[in-house]
Amino acid sequence: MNYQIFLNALATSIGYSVFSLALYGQFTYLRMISISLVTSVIAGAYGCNYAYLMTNNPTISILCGVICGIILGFCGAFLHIKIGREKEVMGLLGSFGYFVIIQGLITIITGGGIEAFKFIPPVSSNMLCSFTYPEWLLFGLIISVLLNVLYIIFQKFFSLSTKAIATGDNYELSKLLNLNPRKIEINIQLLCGGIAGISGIIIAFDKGLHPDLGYDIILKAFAILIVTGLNIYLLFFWSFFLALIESIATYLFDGQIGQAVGLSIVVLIVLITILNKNIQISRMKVKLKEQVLSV
Amino acid sequence: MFNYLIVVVLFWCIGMVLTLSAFFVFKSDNKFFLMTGSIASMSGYYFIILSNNNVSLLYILFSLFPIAIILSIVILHISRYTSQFQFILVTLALIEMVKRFEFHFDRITGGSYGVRLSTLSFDSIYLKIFLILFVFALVYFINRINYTRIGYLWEITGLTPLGAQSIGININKIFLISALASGFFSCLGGLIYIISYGYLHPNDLSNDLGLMALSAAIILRGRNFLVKFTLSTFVLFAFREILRFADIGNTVRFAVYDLILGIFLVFISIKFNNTLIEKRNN
Amino acid sequence: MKLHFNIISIVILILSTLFFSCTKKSSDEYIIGVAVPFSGQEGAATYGKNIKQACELAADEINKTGGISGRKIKLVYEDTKLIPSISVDAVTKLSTVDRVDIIIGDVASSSTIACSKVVEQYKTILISPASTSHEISGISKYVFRTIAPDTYEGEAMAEFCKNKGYRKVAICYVDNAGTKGPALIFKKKYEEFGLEVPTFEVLSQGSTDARTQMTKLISSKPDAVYLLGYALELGTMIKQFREQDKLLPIFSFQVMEEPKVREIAGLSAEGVIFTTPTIYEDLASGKSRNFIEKYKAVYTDPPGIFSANAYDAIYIIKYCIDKVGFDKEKIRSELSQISNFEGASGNFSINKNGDSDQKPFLMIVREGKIVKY
Repeated sequence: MNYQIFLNALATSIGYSVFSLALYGQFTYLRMISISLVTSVIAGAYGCNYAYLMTNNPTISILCGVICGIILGFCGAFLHIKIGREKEVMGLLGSFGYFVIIQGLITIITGGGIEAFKFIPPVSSNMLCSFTYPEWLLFGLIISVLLNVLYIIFQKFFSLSTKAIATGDNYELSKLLNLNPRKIEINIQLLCGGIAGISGIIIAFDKGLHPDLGYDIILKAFAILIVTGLNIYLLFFWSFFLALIESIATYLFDGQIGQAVGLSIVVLIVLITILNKNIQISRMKVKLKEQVLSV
Repeated sequence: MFNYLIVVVLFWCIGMVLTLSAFFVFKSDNKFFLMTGSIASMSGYYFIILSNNNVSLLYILFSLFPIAIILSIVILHISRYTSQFQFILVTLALIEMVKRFEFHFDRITGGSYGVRLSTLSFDSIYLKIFLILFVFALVYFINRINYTRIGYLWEITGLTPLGAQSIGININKIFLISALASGFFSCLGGLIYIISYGYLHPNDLSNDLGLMALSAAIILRGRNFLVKFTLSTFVLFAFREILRFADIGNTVRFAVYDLILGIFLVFISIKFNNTLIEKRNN
Repeated sequence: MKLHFNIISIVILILSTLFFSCTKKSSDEYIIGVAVPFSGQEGAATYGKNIKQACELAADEINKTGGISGRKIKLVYEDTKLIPSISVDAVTKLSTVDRVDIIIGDVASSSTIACSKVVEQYKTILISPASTSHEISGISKYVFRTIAPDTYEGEAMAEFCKNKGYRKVAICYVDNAGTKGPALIFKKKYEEFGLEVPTFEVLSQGSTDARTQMTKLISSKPDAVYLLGYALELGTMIKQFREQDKLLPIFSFQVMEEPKVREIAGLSAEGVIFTTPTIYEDLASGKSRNFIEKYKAVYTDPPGIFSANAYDAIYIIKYCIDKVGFDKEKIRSELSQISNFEGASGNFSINKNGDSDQKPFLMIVREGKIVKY
């Protein structure tokens, strides 16, 4: 087996793992699964590169990218507040609609066909980053690990984290405890939007800048989220592992079958995780029921 | 002009049929079924390949529908073991896999070249008008069923499965019937698509149509089924086609194209509830 | 009341859009439909823009000299987004609502294959300036093209590789009609020469991760690689190939002309050799040079991919109508007999299969610019 496959899997998994971190944050704290963070990824990527085109300063442009991610994270939060907390799957659908709107707007503005936007120049992610491939791998790896560590520190030592977990667990109780759950929800969404913006910048360095950036990410990032569950320490490992499976399957099999096999193995792992969790939950329910009945 | 109208109305009929397919699953099992487009695509390929090889039409129809029905039953069986979100994820992955297989087996499906329907007998305008009338009649029939005893039992099964079980309704039987109906309608959608366009490519039916059909189907619970159905399918399917060809300038069309779906989804997610229980909480 | 309101709103919607859809056919104008992508996947808008600008340039020139047999040319555009079903709808609308006799389009070979059925039904002539798939040859008596089929490019590259002495050339192509053709032709020709294609790898359309495919190509130890795809995938493949191997020569085809490919690939595009039927400035003479100068005078930038072919499409329509009149069937039969037509894309003929026969040139990317090899 060619060692290059492991490097390929690493390259793929770096961007996805940072985005999965943002999704993980949103899920752990808000018990919400939504696609609105993907808009932050696209906004981060485009915002960063347009800022570089105007200012020629990498630091300012990266900050701009993060700010764009945060702004769209805020819009996503606003949408979820409007939809309502209890409507989980409607929230998912609404956030997908929001993603389609943002993506459509970006396609049109950056050259999809409207004459009125002709003044907007084209951008390329190559102008910001002139890393070579090994430099990019190292840079991405460092950023990814750093963000993971920072997140763990945030989870353990910041009061916002505990407040957010309480809000996620029981919204009404947190209102009674004067925790201001709406403000916490918005803060967490802004934080996750920022992380998603950073992931957008990293992904754009690798894959280039195009409006369809978001579609690739959805399936993979959610698969990583499901398989990781609530154990953040394994997030990077699982994103690498799933990318490695796809890589190996594509290497071993010819044609599109290789990609189909890789995808099917990933889906199988996700299904096994889901079934395992459902079995565990039902066993826990039976145990609780027995305990209650024995009393 | 008449031919162009027929094309628009046929696309509307495809949309209506796929919406009905998603609606049956949503109504009885409360799950979002995104694979209507993929099943339509597979049935379309089956139909084109057999009719290009001069197999009799009756044989194709008699074998096509059962295959589509079995496929949907198998796929929807997965939904019994997963929640809504997990089911959406799995169906998204399955759609990708079906597309990859369609590209890979290019000797059968034509792969990236696509495959043309070579039999000219399906070009008949009378067949297209018959299909349009057939679909409208089906929609009317489904509307009538909604307000019968069967229709109300169906609705209750989707809203509160435990409640339905407790009053003696066999929810497995209702689930099976809705999976059957869903498969039938997806297959019919594929058939109408082939007859109106005469060409199929792996990227054609799998991409947008499943999501559009689902978003049209979500608002259909409750009263005024026919009005809501007509409006939602018209806006998402027919109006989109008409807008594409309306002589109002390229720039406006480009702006409105894909934004309609996004705005529609955001609108229905804010306005509509998908279970009775959620409505009570709000 | 609510029911009535809903029904009334639907009726108003239908009536208003039908009103906008009705067009009157003026006898002073000759309407030509143009069904090309202006939006959609990466690169699609560029193709549409290039073809539109070239068609408008040709139409303006012809209208200034009195039009086609006294009738001014009017161009009607439809966006096909590089999707076959939308292309079919566009061609149907142009044929039935705008009632055009000739349509210029589409760019994607799969769209042109899909439209071939529709144009047969409505007896509309379809001239493609960009679809290169060899599957289109002879598909319908109403389908023509002003660009050579991919057979020429695949064979030319195979000859070049054989003359250079490469014994093994690995291929990676994107799975769509326009890019699969040259890959298959190259493989067939190369194997006829007794040489080897050790890996024949495929990438799905729209994919931005080709690293594993590139690893597979390199592990088969070829002497060179042949990469084919549309702008996004080709740029990605070249960039990710160079991440893993700095030395092996890369060959490609016409899409390499696209500036987007060089933008995505960056410095990795340096030294890529490709075939293209487009005549560049340093090779242009006669009508090709005239076209390039006129195009730059109007649009500042030099003509892009498919521009010259679209320009020629308008001029061969004028040529046929001047010769045989406005009768569709006569135009169709004249089109299939065009011989030694001096156009912006060179001197070409159209055979009875509707194919033209421009020979491709070998070009190379040096310091970010395309020059003759």
